[in-house]
Amino acid sequence: MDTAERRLNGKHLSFYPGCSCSKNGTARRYGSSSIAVLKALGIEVSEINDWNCCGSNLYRIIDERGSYFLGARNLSKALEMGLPEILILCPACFLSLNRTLTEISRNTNLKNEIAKKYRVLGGPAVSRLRIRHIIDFLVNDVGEEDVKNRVVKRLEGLKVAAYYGCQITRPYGYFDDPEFPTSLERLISWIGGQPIESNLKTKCCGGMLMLTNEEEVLNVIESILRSYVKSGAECIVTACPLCHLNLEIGRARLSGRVGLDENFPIIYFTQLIGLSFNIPVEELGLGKDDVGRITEKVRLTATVKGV
Amino acid sequence: MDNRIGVYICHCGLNISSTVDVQKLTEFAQGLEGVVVARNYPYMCSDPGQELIKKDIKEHGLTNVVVASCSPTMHGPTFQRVCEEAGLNPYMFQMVNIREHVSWVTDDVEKATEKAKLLVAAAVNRVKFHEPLGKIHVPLTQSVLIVGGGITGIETALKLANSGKKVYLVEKEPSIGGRMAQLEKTFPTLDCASCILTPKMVDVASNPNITILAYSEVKEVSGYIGNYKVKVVKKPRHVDESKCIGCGLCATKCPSKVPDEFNMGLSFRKAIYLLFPQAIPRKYTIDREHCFYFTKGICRVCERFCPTRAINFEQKPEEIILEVGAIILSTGYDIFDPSVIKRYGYGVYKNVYTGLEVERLTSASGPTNGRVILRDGRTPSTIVVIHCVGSRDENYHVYCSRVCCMYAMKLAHLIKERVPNSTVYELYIDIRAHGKGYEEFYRRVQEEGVIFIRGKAAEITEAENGKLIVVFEDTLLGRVQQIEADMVVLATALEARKDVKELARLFNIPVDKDGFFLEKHPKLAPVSTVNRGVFVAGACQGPKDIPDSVAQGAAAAAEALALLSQGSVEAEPVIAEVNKNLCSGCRICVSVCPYNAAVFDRETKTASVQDVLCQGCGTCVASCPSGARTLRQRGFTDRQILAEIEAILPKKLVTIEKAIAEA
Amino acid sequence: MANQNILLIEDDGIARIAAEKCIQCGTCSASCPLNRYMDYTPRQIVALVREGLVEEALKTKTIWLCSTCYLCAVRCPAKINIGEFMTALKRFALKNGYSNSLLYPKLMKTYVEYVNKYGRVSEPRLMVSFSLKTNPLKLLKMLPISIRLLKNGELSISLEKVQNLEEIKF
Repeated sequence: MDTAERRLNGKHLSFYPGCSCSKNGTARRYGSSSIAVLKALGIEVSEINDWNCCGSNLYRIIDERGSYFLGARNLSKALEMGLPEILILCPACFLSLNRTLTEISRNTNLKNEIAKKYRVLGGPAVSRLRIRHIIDFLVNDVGEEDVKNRVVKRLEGLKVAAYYGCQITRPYGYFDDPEFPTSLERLISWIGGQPIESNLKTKCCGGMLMLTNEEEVLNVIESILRSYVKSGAECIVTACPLCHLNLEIGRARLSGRVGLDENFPIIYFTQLIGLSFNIPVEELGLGKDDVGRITEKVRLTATVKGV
Repeated sequence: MDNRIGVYICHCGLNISSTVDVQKLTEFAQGLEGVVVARNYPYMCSDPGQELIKKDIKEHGLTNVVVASCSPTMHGPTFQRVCEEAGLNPYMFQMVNIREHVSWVTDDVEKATEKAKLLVAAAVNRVKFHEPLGKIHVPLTQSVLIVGGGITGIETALKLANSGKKVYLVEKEPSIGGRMAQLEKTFPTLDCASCILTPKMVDVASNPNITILAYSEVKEVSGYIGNYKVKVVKKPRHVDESKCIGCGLCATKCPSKVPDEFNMGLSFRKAIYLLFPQAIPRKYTIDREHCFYFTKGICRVCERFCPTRAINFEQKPEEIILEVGAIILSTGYDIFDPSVIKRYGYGVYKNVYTGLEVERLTSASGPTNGRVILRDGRTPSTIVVIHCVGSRDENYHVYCSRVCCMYAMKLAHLIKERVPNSTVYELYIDIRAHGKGYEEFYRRVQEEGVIFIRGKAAEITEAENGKLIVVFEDTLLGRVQQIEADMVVLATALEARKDVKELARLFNIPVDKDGFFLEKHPKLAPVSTVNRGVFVAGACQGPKDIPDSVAQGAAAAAEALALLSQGSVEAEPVIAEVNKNLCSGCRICVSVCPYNAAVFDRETKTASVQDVLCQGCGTCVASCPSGARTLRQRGFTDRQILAEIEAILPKKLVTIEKAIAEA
Repeated sequence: MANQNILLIEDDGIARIAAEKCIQCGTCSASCPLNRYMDYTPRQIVALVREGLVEEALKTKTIWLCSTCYLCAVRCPAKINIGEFMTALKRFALKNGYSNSLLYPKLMKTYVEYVNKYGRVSEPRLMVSFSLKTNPLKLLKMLPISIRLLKNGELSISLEKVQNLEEIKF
């Protein structure tokens, strides 16, 4: 659509990959597929110069003040690049940077202290900072028309279940319902998929507790996987590196018990969108197994657009 | 003229004297120009305090009185009366608020005393320019408008009519009766709601002093206390009320099928319908949104069968102008829509109900003739009632809805009665059984075997077998539990009417933070509003049960009677006046006056202000291009206000002297 | 019984938790995905703290089982952010030496060491060094999935770090 194109034309955001989605992170495929999808949509992103750890919850428990300084450094780098709108993939990073920004704007002492180290955060430019999750950006800025127009292969009828995890919409998920979001379902339907509902879609995967309380977390994941098996999903898409890892561990360890085959596709939602955009699988970081499983279900023969 | 001013400083117990040095303040006042006597006293508003002022007025021949105490809203009228009783015109008085404006907002004695001095000096300077004003008397129309025909409006109407006043009862639904008509039983006595309500409805209909305007809405209100002019629009029923005999043949023949709002959509009615069997007036109404003739242009079956030829498709809205002396609002409440709390699944899971829906299920005249059954016809054996749905929750309404605990227990009782072997759980946070006989009712329901668990339901999910899984913490056990239920009942909050803001604007009264009409004082003027001729009663003022609503209705009736029986009402003379010699007749004041008080006199080609309509807001005074000498506000003249400012500002800044000289 | 909750609120001068307004409805407890494994329900933790029994709260398993998913926070009828409340308790417990034997604090410490040293974290390296400190056998169990991840190109053990490390000293 004209208006959308005009609005997004030349849209340039800074990009905060975070440790997981960066080149050597566990969710490097989330990172590469997101960048490929954005590129296909004509959106330019520039990685924040020399970014550092977001100051995540793990860090914040030991050193709250330090965590805000960590977050603030990233924000200041984005401002220095002249790109105050920051795109983020990892929900934990999204949460941390949002929290840093919130704290800076409401705690003057903290702000002053931080501004001593990162000058730009003491100025009026702070008010221009926007921390955007890629789901929010794709659904609300790019929008239905543009996404649909870019689809080359509609994933006709593929039953896709979205697993949001917790921190995308809580507590800073102002773009969607904190418990029953629908953004991913909308994206899935725009590329031709059939969204499958689960009432556990924003239940916590256990997060980092997988390392400390494995048994308990595996039980939680088991109930989540069971609900998806029951719903008849043919593919699960995730939007969080940690959820993804935990589901993969769950699939490996529990597949027999929950009736899930061990090759069941669990991929990032950006990889699925990339498939429908006909982006080469290598760019999307999709393994042969995953593509095979999905194409088998989808009969990707239905090339809707193009030649 | 020499001013002889008396200044009286109140301690207000310790409220003022603990922060303001009243002795120093008195000495300061004594030294002000024109002051002949200054005193302080522990309670100036007390009898001895008042006598003190009266005595001084007589002995010292005071021409003006200044009282420094609390807010003029509180005791302004008290001291004005004191002046009057001692033979001094009450407008030769000025009040200074050294409590709310001084002592209550700081602990700093020095600063507080300094500020109090300035304020007293300002008042003393101002009061020198006061002039005697005479009260205005306004006649009262001996009739009352009541808006809302629920139990509150009905009781209020009957009380007023029985004391000989003419009453207009406006109801927007086709019948009076309100929410109470939907109830099966009332707590804690378990009276049959219809049995005690319907006779009252009949009394209303047969009372010669009451005119029921059902299916009608108030559109405009003008005038002032004692003399309101109200425009009511009667919506077209498309049934001639004078001809309809309520036989119901039309409805049996009507081919449409419409969800029945009276039964909360649990059954169907026709497009031509009676709201409920005991409706008053017993006149049928065509619902234009669902009538095939109005939607598709065909049918008119009702017209063919009506034995009295009462159907009239051409009927138009009818405007009625009422003249009343007082207005009572009893517009009731809306029910919180629980579907916004998505985790409870209302509207998604078919076996999750609201309290009012289950109330209709238990009603003998309801959709199931009083049988408690699910939508698929099965009888539930495990029922969970969830309290505080939308109440006591900062995400929705922070207030307690006051009736839910009780109606939830009543529903549990009724369910137990209709399904004897059922298990009924009440998930509550705190039981609020505050009324007479309520705690006893709680005990009774416990003894009947209803299981009370302290804990709020966190979520409801639906299992494959269709059972509802209710998850909660039993907070007394400290254990997270779940119940497999066949039916869940949500005890939903009471909330302000959706259109409350429009109503508030229409009647010129404020609403509180929750959207309910704001009473003048929560304890001492609970049914009055800041608009003196407008009263509120029942749940439109805040969530309320039937006993409290009825009591408020009676209170509002008494307030209206007390007003009307005065025969005439005093209006404040602090209003605008025009100097006809200077008025150029530009009519700007006429166009800005919000009360239509400023009018243009064609003969003299000048403006004038109608005393009884003017509220003294000052808009016209500010708008007059030829200035203060032409259009002035009595009691707030430029001279008075500038004198006040002069006393407060440091002398150097006062170029105001000049301004005063010019004025 | 002085209000020791103040200690939590003023901890680092930043965290703000208003647990005093809790109405003890239990919504948080019943919403928690890990409630089954807790020794006290989250509601009870709030009750302990506001009664001044902070020490008892700090010794619970519960606070270390909170994964800060904030479901309790968005549902709480008193709008208390219980996730943040638990975070503050964890920090308080660590500072006062209540939980050194637990796994979670070890994980956090390893994490913070990494960030302070390199500015970023390599998750696989973090997991390996954490496991070596706590339960080396677990590494063996993780082997199959690790191989799979490596094969898929999802696992990389190369180290990333911030260029200007001086900038992250505060």
